[in-house]
Order: sequence, then C-alpha cells, then structure tokens
Amino acid sequence: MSTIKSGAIVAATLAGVAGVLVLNPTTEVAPAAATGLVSPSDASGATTDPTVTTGSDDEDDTTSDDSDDTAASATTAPSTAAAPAATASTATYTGAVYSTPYGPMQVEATIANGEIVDISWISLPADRHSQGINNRAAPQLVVEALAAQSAQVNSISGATYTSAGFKYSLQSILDQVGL
Amino acid sequence: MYPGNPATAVEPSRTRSRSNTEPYTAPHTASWAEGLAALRARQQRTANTALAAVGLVGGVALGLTFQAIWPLGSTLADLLWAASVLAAVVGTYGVLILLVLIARLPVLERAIGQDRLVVAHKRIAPWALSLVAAHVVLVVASYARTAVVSWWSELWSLNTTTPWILPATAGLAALVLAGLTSWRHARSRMRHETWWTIHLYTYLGIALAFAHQITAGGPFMTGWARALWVALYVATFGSILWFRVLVPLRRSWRHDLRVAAVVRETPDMVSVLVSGRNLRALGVQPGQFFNWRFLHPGLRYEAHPYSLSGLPRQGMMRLTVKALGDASTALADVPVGTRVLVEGPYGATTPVRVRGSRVVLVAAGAGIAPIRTLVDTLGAHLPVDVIYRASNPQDLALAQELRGLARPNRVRVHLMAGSRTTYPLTADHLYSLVGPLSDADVFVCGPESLNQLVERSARELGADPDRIHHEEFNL
Repeated sequence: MSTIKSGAIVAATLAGVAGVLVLNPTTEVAPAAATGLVSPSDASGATTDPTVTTGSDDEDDTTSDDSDDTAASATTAPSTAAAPAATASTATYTGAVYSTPYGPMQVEATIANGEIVDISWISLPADRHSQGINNRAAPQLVVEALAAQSAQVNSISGATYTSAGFKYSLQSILDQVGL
Repeated sequence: MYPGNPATAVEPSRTRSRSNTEPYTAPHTASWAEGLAALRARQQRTANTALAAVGLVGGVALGLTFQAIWPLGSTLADLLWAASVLAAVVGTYGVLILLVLIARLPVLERAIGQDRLVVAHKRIAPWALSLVAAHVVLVVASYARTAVVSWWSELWSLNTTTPWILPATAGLAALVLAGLTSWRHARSRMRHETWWTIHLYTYLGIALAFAHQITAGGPFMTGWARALWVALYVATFGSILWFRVLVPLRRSWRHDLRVAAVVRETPDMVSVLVSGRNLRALGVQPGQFFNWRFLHPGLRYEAHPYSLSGLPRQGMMRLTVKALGDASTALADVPVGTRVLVEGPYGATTPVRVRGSRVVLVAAGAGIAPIRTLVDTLGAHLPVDVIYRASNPQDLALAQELRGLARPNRVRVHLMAGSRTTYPLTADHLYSLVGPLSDADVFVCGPESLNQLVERSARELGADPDRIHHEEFNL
C-alpha cells in the first residue's frame, strides 16, 4: 500500500532542521540588563567565590568579608550617584544574565578606583558536560579579563557558550560603570 | 462512513440469511467508486499531513540538537559527548514515534491500518532502542575520559550523584527487557500475556527517563525548546490515554455490550453474538475488527483482536474465532450475559481500499470472519468471488451462510474442503476459479503462508500489488 508519502515526511523534517538553524532562537541573549546591575553588595559574604580566587596584587582582595564590608560602607554612593563617582571607590556589581541551552550564565565584578579587581561567576550551568568544560574555562576567562582589564578576551575553544556568556555579562557591568 | 450499503445479515450461521429469490438490486457502481476514491484520498491526505507534522517536529528537535552540540569540541571526550546527545535525541524521538504508532490515532488507523502500524513499530523499535543504549555508552565514555576514571565508576557516579539519572537507567532497563522479549525467538517461547505485561512496563520506563532529558543536559533544558519537549510527551501519553483507554471505555459503557449467545460453528471454531445498544453508532466497516475483552475469569486481563463475522444489525454483532490460544479456547465457555469491553473498530482492509471493477475474496480457517462481512457490501456493487478453503467439510465455518449469499453472475462462492494438494491456490488453480485478475481487487485472510501464496499467485495473474489486501495477523 503506497499511501505514505515518505518524501513529504523527509522534506518536513529537513524544513524543521533548517528552520531552527536559520531562526536560531535559543542562543539569543535575554537582556536582563535592566535588573542585571544592582547596588554594591554590602551584606553579601557570597560575593567571594571559592573557585575563582584572583590572587591579584591588591591586598584588599585577599582579605575576607570584613574588608568588603568596610569598602562598601565607605561608599554607598555608586548605586544612585553618577557612574564616574563610583570609580572613586570599591564596589561589587552583578552582570546581566546570558541565556544558553544549558542554563543561565552570570558574573559579578568588584571595581576599585576604576580598576577591575575581582570577578566571580555567580551562575554557571551545572550539568556534567558543562562542568567538565567550565572547570577549565571559567577560571581562565577570569584571569584573562583581569589581566586585560577588559571584557574583550579571547574565546576559549570548546567553551563557546561560556566565553560568550562571560564577555556579555562582564561587559554589561563595564558599560554601566563607564569603564 | 463509507458510501456503500449498510451491511446486512447477522444471523446464526445455521440459517439462510437471504433467499435466492430476493430481487437483485442494481448497483450504482460509478458513484459508489467515486465516493470511495474521494474518501480514500481524504484519509491518505490527513494521514500524510499528520506524518509530515511528526517529521517537522522531529526536524526541529534535531535542529535544536545541532545547536546544542555545535561548535564541536576538539577533544575526544567532547566528540563522544556530542555523539551521545545526538543519539539520545534521535533515539528518544524514535521511542516517541513507537508510542504514536500504537496510540490508535484514528487518522493513522484509517489510512494505514493497525497491522501495518504495528509492523512499522517493530521495524523502528530496534533502531530507537539501540540509539538510546548508545547514548548511555557514549556519555559514560565521555565523562569517564574527562574525569579520568573507569567506565564503571563513572556510570556509578552518574547514577548516584546526578539527579534523575537513576530513574532513566531503570527506564532503559524496562525498554531493553521489552525489546528482548519481543525478539521472535524469545517471544515464541513465552505466553502472550507475559510478553504483553512486560510491554506495559515500557510506558513506565519511558516516563521515568523523561526528567533527566530536561534537567541533566542537552538541547531541552531551557526556554521554548524545553516547552516543546514537554509538550511532545504530554501529547504522546495523552493520546494513548485518550484513544486506548478513555474512548474504548466510554464506548463499551455507552453501548452496554454483552454476550448474547455462543454458537459452535466447527469442531474448533465458535461464534459469539454480542448484543448492545445503538451499535450502528460504532461505525464499523466490513473487514474490521475490535480488540475484545470479555469480563470473565481468565479472559478479562487482556484484550484480543477478533474480526467481526457479522456487522451490527438489530442490536447484535458477531465474531467468529478459532481456538488457537488460551483465550480463544476459553471463549467457547463464556457465559451469556458477560459484559464485553471493546477497543475499535480497527483495520484498514475495508471496501474503501477497492479500486478495481471486481473483487476476489480468499479465506482459510478463521479468516472467513472479515471476508464474510466484506461479501455483503462488495457484492451489492461489484462482481465478487469468494474462495474459502479448509481441510475438511466440517471445518468450513459459516458455509451454509456463504452458500446463501451466492447470486448468479454477482456473487460466486467457491467452498473448497480438502487438502492443499487438492486446492493448492497456485496461479493455475486460481486462474481456473477466477480467471485473470488485472481488473480485480484481491482480499486475502488466512495464515501467513496462505496470504503469501495467494499474493504471489494473484500477481502472476496480473493483479496490481497495491490492490492485493491482507491484514498482517502474525503480529
């Protein structure tokens, strides 16, 4: 019984593949920038991420919560005041969320006197495959960005989403701060 | 449903159903054939649209998968992981197709027929299962490589640490068990009931494997891709629940089906008369069958497919069954008044398939049941030859009834009681009965060997292969 048009079924399948690849609906970023930037963290011990220790030359960073607290209490201005004022002191900012098929990616950065002194991942996909990639890629991106003092770092091969998410989220902070 | 006469005659087979002197009604062959052609085209169009939709959604899932694994990583572990995701998505979509094929979707049942849908199910199943199994091997290999541990310890840690992996492993085990027991050699050694029960657990297995598909990784973790994947499962399981459970229950309840009589037709065949309310509303066509479940000890656990040998008429319909298995043997003793649940009607070997200007119906053994219902309708419009073979005269069920259906120049009945050597149904033999078949539709219903033999003979006599119709009963 030759009732089934297998050609039509195959064509529909190919159309489905092509449609997704052309329209590319999942990799687009959900610009959560409006809510992405928040005021400096004054009550968050969570800002220090154990996986991303920057080991920078600033001794402020190597100290723990209390130094953050003092820094934050010293300057409560940046959230409300104009951006340039913020560069005069230390504050921690949360970047915009970058959506990927594996889950959201997001970083936060501490800016002191117009310099990026610390970057932490606060959101990374937790599935096993992503973990395997990010164990290597996530700290490396942080190191590179701190060295370059910019979000314009080289993408890491095999970690396309992580690289894109890192740059997007960090850039949103730098845009806001005016760096 | 089909534009022919409503079927006639359900009566105990020992009585003549019609007298030979009944006035011959002029057939409206042209308009009848046009109506059939239009209906057939509509059925095939909707079925093809449905299948194209399955293809389209599959293509979208595949596209999302490509996006998730692209760009390919450079290490072997990355490549293994990408292959594992691809195998998982294609294999799981295949498993969902397996469910759709047996979900009794009317759009597919009408145009393709349950027998061929089940054949497709059996063909696709090994591929789908192998891909899902390959997914497990590949993902374990990939992670084990990344973590530099043995496969077994990676498998163990995946199952113990990653949420929803353990249920998925259990689900795969249920699928593999159902697959192995469906293998011809294994299946022939076990009771049908056992095989069926194991197959029931595949629903549970597929459901158990679902959660890890939207949580553990892959293309369906976020956004509308995730919504699409969830919707696929809801639609698949929903249609099974609707068409295999709720619709049959409602139908059986509404029509209040009960055993009205059991009639012994031959030493090993019985007819069961089933009474009910408003049976015409069931929309049965000649040649169709129901899955019957008699609510009687020993019969109620599982439904069995039996063709109608008498279409609904005056609150009664009839099935005729040969004592082949436990259930059909027990049917001879089912008490009058037993409640009956039906799923159906199913089957695409109906008058809608007819395209020729004459029809040859060939039956052997219990295969006479669907042929019997086809005779009435087809005989009202086209010249019909009925060929019915059995080893002994007393094994020809409904013989009396069939003789009563004969009409000069319209319905010829060839009853052939004797061995295969006497009536071999070879091309030569068939030719001596019915002549050349280039303008004929041939319906065959009997054991697989007979079906194949008659199909071969009919082709030799010029029949169009697309117009040789038989149900694949050997499921």
